[in-house]
Amino acid sequence: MARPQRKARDDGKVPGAYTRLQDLVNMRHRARGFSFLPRQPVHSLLAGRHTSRLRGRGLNFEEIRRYQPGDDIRQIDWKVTARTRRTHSRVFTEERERVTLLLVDQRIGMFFGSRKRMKSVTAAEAAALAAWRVLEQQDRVGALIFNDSELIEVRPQRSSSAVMRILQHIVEQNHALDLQSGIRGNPGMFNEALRRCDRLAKHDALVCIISDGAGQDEESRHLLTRIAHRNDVLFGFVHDPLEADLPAAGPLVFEDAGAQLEVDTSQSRLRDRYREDFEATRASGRHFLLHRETPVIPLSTAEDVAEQIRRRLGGVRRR
Amino acid sequence: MSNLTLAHPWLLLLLPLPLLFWWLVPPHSEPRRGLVVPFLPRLAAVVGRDPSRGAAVARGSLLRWLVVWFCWLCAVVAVARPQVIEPPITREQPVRDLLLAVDLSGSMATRDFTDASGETVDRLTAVKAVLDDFLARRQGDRVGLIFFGSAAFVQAPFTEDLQVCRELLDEAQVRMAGPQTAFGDALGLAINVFERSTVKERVLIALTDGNDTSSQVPPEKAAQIAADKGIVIHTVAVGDPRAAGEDALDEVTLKKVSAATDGLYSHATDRSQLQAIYDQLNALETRQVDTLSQRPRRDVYWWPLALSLIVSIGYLGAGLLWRQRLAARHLGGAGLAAAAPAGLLTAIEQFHFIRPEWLLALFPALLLWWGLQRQSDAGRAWRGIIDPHLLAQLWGSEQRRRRFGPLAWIGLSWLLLIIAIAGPSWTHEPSPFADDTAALAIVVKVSPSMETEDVQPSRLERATLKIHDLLEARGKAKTALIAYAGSAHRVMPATGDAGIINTFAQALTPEIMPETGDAAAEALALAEQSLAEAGGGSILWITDSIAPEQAGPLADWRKTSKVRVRLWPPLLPGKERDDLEKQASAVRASLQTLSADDSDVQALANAARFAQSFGSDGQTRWAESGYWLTPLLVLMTLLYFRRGWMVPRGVGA
Repeated sequence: MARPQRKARDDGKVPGAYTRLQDLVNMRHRARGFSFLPRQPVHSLLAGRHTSRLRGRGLNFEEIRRYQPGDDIRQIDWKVTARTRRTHSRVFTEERERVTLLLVDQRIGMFFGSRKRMKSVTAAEAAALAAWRVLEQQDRVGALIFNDSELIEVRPQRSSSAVMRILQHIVEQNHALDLQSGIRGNPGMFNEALRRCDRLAKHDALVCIISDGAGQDEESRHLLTRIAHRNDVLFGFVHDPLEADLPAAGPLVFEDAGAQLEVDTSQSRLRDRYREDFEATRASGRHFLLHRETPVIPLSTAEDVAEQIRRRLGGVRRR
Repeated sequence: MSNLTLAHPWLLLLLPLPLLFWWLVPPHSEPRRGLVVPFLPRLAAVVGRDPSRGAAVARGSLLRWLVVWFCWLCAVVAVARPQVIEPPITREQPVRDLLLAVDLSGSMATRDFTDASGETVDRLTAVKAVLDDFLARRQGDRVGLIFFGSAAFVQAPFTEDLQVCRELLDEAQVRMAGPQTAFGDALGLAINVFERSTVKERVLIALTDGNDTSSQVPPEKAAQIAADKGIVIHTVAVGDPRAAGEDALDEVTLKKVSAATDGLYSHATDRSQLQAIYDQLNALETRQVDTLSQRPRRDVYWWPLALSLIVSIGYLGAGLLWRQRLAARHLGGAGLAAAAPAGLLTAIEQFHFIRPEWLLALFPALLLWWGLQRQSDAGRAWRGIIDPHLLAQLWGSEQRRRRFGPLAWIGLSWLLLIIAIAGPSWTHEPSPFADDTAALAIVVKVSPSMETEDVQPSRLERATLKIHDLLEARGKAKTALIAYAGSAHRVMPATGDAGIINTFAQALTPEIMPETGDAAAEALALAEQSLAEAGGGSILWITDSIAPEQAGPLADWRKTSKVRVRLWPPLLPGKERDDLEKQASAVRASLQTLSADDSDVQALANAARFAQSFGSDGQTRWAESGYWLTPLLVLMTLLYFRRGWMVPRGVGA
């Protein structure tokens, strides 16, 4: 049987199953309509009580200069004004060089998707969007890209070449994903990435974890708590509709690492249990994260990534 | 059914074989295609089952085993060759020889006979009426015909073909054998004829007006001799006993003759007396009819095969329908189904199916197989769920498609089953009463040129000898004999009695032909008519020349006739034969050359056997060749006892 897969390997990767550098670069133009900055749009997930800890602009002291009309009178430095007898005001600038760290999951478990694109592709696109957005905001962006065997660190820098390097690594790891190549899943890599992140993000960094959260355990919760203590954490939860809900399609053969399981999906009781199980896991994870004031952005493979991010972090809610 | 037997009952010992097979043959495992999902452990926890490693050995349900065992039982029973013993077919062998001596003297033309309806007819007509009635009752006897006038001659030697006798009788004319009555000589001839007969019961029925006028032996004397030989002579007087003169009825002589041989005397109008003769024939000479009986065995191996086909298709089909819930969808294309096998059947001449209607089962079987094939791909279910471009990336272990997996085998078994049930056949079953060959009309030109002695002993005699051989080779197949010169005559209508034709063929000489000339077209038309009466066949044309003026009539005849003509010129290779061949092309005759040995006879006998038959004989029985497929089917069924050897039932648990 002529498998489409063989064909795909010959003349390039199938879009949707694999990401392409060009697509990720093009994400730059779509990185609009949302912001990681402290002043958040009303409907943003980052607005409101839980996002007050997100440190932002106006805290870094820049200079004292002569008062100019239009300056906030609350910014007038009375001591300097009194000493020089000229009105001076203190000028604060935005926190320009805030570090954003992207944790991009490209493990074999992410190589799955039922609609439109793979989870790995979704993660790559989300990472690209975030990187371009951060660069737009004149902040530094770094990344930890990990798969089942290696963890690549890109030091935070504020340059498009740094972003390109991040994207390059993402694409490389993305293209290495193949079920036939015998990659064994490594749940431990998640904690490994968190440990590295903990060392890297000293304070006041924005940490974006883009993963399906597979392999999380007590240690990862502990690490997350520590990271969130000094930094802002944003969790992009990549998931597929099939993980949430099974279709009623009769008997189906599921497989993983050579083991097969036949499930008769026509049993509604089974489907309900499956759905409830997923909801419960997700709810407990969200509960844990929100407790650490970590917002969760669910990223479904079935929908446009930029759209989903914009919906959660953007100003205009699109229905 | 009491008369259902197994030809090879010992083959039933095969029944426990599957146990051995199941036990000894390693299990068959077929990996299926699965979708690689990252959430398998979670799913396994939800389902509460552990994922199995690699391909699993499929296990059948109880119902499946019942069905397989049933099919096995059917296959084994079929291979044991069940046969229905049909009611015996009997053929009566004649044990009695009857001779009919019919008076054809001039006095028989006297119209003094009043028949049953009160009309006055001549005596010969009365004789024919009596004999028609008589012959109708004599099935199973051999009947010979003696005509006598000034002399007596044998019109028909003993034959079982009473129809021929009646036809020959119909052709009888007054004064055919001369105007006088040689009754005594006729009795003498009859005694002679009986001499050659091996049958003990010898009965002569003489139909005459009894006025012996020219016998060398007086009737009373002849009757005495007959009585010594054990011949019973019944006399039937024809004519008006009150008449006087030359043509008067000589009742006294007739009574004496019959009395001398313990026979009965009757008057043709006296029905009760005639009945007494019939009764005596029936009763006194106890009807010793040798019955050749045969109880034909009809192969019914296809009964169990049909059962197993229905059960297996039903089981798998029901499963398929139930799973796919396409119960509403009906099998369409019945019209299509009807057309296809019909075309197939006409394509093959000898090869055919005894029960072609079963071939229609191929369509549901094919449809079902296609359905099974479609659903056998475990991955197919995923198609609607996963986008195709992603699905291609997500297949797990390759589904190793075996070329001859259980599914292919069941398709093959169904095909064989249906073919076996339909009963392929290409040979006739040897019948003890070989009547299954088509009729043959032999058309012989009887002209002076046929007496040429370039072929030894002469063309005509050589032809006669060849006809003799041919008749022998044809056994009891019906053959007619037509002779022609300037006019065409039916010497003998189609009859299964080779002897009688032989006799007539040998008597053919140019002198007996009333006209010289060439009436080939007329002769062929006559032959075709004889064939039509006999239920179809082909013509064998023996001639040494065709007159040029016959070309037109022959071509005309050819236009209206489809009968196959074989030309068999008793000629040596040369110009004469080449010319004949050229002329014969007008009737599109195929040529059979004369050979020194009997190869030409064999070729003709073979060709004539398979000539196109218009009507069915009823006795034709095709040999069931489908039985020989049953051992193959047994082997195929056996395979399904291998552990795990199952038709993939979708992906059901």
